[in-house]
Amino acid sequence: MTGYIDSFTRGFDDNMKNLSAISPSWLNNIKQQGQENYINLGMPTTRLEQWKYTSLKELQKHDFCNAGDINDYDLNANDMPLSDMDAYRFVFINGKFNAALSDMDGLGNDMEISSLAAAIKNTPDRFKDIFTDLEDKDIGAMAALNNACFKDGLFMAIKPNISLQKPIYIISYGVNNNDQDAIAFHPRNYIHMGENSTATLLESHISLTGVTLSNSQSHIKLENNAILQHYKNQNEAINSYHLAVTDVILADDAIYNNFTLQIGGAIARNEVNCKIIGQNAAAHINGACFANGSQHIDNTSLIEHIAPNSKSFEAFKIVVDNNARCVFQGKIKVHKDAQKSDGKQMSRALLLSKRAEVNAKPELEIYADDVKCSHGSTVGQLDEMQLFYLISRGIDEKAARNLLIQAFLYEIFDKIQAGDIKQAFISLMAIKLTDFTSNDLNLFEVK
Amino acid sequence: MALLEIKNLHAKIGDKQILKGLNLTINAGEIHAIMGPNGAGKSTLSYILAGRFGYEVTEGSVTYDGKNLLEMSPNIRACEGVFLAFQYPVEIPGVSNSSFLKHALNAKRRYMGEPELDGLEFVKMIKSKAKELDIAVDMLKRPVNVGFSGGEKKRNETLQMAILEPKLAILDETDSGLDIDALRIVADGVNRLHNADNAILAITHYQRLLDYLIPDFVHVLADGKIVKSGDKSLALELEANGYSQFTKTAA
Repeated sequence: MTGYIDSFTRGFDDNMKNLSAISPSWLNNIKQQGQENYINLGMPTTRLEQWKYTSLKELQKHDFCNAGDINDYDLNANDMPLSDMDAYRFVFINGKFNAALSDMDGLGNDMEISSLAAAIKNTPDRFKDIFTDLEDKDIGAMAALNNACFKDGLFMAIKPNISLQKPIYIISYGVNNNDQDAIAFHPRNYIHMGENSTATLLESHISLTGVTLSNSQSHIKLENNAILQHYKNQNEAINSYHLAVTDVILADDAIYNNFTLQIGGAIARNEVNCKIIGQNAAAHINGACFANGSQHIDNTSLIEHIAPNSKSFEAFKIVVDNNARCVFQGKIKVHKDAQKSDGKQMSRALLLSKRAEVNAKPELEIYADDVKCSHGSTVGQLDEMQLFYLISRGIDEKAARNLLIQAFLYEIFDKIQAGDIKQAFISLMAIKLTDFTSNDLNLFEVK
Repeated sequence: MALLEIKNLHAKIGDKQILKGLNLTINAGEIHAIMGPNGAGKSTLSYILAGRFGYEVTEGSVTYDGKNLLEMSPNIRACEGVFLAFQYPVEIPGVSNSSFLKHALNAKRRYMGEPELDGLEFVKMIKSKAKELDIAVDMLKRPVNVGFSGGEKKRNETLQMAILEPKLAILDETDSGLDIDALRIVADGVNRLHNADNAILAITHYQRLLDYLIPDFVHVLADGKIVKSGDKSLALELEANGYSQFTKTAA
């Protein structure tokens, strides 16, 4: 085992003491099991194929404590990210639901939506089944840690044939008031889309002060013909850590459209795993990221075609500056019976600095013999003639670079179907781009 | 005072010496043509004047409007009124032509201490300029030069010139890739922009462009130097006799 003391395991004793008083016994068992699994697995290392390019070693430098509850945090709704979005707002502080800051006015009875903690408290038996189903999964260490430590999250179940007009908007704040070296919280979300239902789910992830780790697990199930638009904005502070896994199951004719914008975090990894168990379903996994300074941003995905006649589309645009590093791992696995599967995957990366790095690992694993699958991956730099052309018209070098970066990125945002969210994400990226400082890539050098 | 004064200019790319003591004086109100064989340094001269990186001036000076041009960064040169019409205008997918033009114009206006144009003012201005130059409004919405024909690209260069109103316009083989009609349209556009306060330096292989853009002076650039200067009749003479009298093999 590892030679250092893992601050997460050290917190386990307290964790259990706190929980056993309030949780049903089956939940305590799950948490106990999560602890044991985590202790056995240990924090992922780069020796694991899935973590080959993303090292969590830096986490060991911090003494993580489980985040305490912050019930009244002084936040103005206007200061929240994408504050002008017309949406039902669910605010979480350090993973715990905050009703006072949330805004659910107008939500009807067509759905169940609440904090997960409240939902478990109200209908524990129902969750016993859900959790037991998931428990058998061959989970990774961070998921096990989430099992051991989670407290809350979003629970949402939309009834069949219901279309939600406004997005459901999760805002997750990490707040470390600096009395701790580092805090960790472990959000857990359950989303269930009934047959023929449609909804839009938006997430923003922000950290305000101090070092924080958000280690989340989301479980999403789309029943027949359900449609979910899922948009995520990961814009945490550059001293924060963000590890997120979203598991999605698609039944017949379901459509899942995911777009992840990642611009924040010291180390941030967004992992989306789709299991397409229905026919004629479609999974769209897209994203844009920009990393600068010494950021490390990882987008990892696994799309499994289990039933025939389904489609998956994946497209990522990646921009890396300074010493930053981005990882793209995308795997499409077509099972033996998934004939006529159609999978397309593309990642394009732009390096702005000589020291910037991108690791792209596209993978196809195909066991069916009648499928259409493609993948492509490019890594490039800004074009010297394009840059000179812009500059020769009076545009200064920084603005010219900025224009070309936006030009590289812009088409990916078309994957966002909600117009206001698309504009909001473009604006967030534009703000991040004004930060970029790289002048160290001497593009004009004659080779 | 001359608008542009190039004295004894030596320049190289990497280890290759391209310009070897070039002298040229251009006054406001004049049209100059530089002709010469392939590899003489014509494009190098235009890039050095516009400030493309990678070109090293080893000797000599370039004075523009009383200032040392070589000390200015390329965007400042543009703001000061130097404009290079590219031989091969660059395609920039993802940047619309109108937003590119707006960035360029407002950069210059900021530099001159003038207020930037807002969206509406700009659209009005650009549309009237486009109309003058017979440019379809559709071309403004499309990404810069992407999918443009050779003629459209050169007309787009002329439109940029019309909007930026340069004092010194350098046309780098503007005639290349153009049929006669397109050539005439572009030359007409340049003629319309030419006045007593600005100057044009047209770099070309062929006399053809000069039928429409009548030069006051014609220079022959060979092996990195101006080897002969004359009036527009020199262009006709070159067309008849070729450049061989100026190249090393002939000497």
